[in-house]
Amino acid sequence: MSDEYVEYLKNDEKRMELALRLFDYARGLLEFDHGWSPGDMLPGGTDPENIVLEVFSRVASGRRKLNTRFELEMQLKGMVRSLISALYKSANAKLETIDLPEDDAGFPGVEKALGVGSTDSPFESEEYSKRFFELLEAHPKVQKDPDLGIAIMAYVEGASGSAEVAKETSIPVERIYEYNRILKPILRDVKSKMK
Amino acid sequence: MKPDYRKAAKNLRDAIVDNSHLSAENLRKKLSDEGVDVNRFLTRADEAFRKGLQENVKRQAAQAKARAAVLKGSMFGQLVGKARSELLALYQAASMGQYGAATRARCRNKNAEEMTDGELRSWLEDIERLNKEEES
Repeated sequence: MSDEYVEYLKNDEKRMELALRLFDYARGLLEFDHGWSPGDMLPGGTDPENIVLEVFSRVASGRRKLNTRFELEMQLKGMVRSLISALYKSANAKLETIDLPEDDAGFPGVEKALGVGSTDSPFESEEYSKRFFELLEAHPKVQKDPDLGIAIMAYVEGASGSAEVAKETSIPVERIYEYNRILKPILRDVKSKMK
Repeated sequence: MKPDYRKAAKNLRDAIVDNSHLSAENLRKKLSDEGVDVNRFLTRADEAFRKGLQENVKRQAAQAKARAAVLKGSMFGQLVGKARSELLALYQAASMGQYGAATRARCRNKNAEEMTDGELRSWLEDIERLNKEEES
C-alpha cells in the first residue's frame, strides 16, 4: 500500500531529506536538459521549488498513488521528471493541472511510472548528442585535465554511473563525483555554443 | 563499436544529477552555496505536505459521506409503483428496527393501516429524506 510511504514521509527528518534530494535533482535536470539557470522561470511562470511542492502535495493528498514494490525516492524523482517534461511540452501547461498518465491507477508502463521515459530533451537526438560530446572533449578545461577527458570518454564508451566510470578508468569515485560537479559550468558553456 | 551518443548523454546526465552519495547536510550546504534559501524551501515543502494530508482527510470524509448517502437513498428502494402490501411490509420492517433506531423511532404513533397508499409512500419518502438530511 502506498499509504506506507505517506506514513514514512510524515517523519520530519526523512521528509526534509527527500525534499532536498528532489529539489537538487529537479535543478540538475532542468540545467542539463533545458539549459535552465538559477533565477530563470520555468514555463507556466513556475520555478523548480514548486515542482517539489507539487510532488509532495500529490502524494500526501492521495492524488498520486505510489507502489511499494519500487523505491520511494525513485518514484518521486520519476514524478519530478514527468512534471518537468510536461511543463516543457506545452506552453500553456500549469503545474497544478498537469495530468500525468501514470496518475491513472491503471497505467501499466512501469518504466514510465518510474519516470525513465522520454524527457523531451535535445539529447534525444543522436546528432545533437554527438556534437555535444565533440565540443565537450574539445573544451579548454577538459583539454587541460587529461583525467577529466578520460572520464568523459568512459561515458561515451557506455559507462553508466560514477561508480562504473571509476571502475573503467581507475580514477577514485570521489574524484569522479568532483568531476561531475566541475562539469556543470563546462556543460553550460558547451550548450551555449550549440545554439 | 560505434558509440551511442544519446545513451552516453543520458548516462552523463544521470551521473551529474545523481545525489545519492550526498548526505542531507551536504545537500543543504550545496543548495545554500547555489543561493537557495533552504529553510524557506523546507517550510514550503512542509506546508505542501500538510495541506495534502488535510486534502486527503477531507476527500476520504466526502467519499464516506457519498457512500452513506447512496446507502441511505436505497433504504426503501424505488417506492413509486410499489403495491400497498409492499409499502406496509416496509413500514413493518422499519417499525421493528430493521433500518436503524432513528427510523424505528419515526414509526412510533403511526398507524400505517389507516393511511392511503399515497400517504404511506409519501411518509416513507419523508423518512428517507430526513435520514439523508441527518447524514449531511
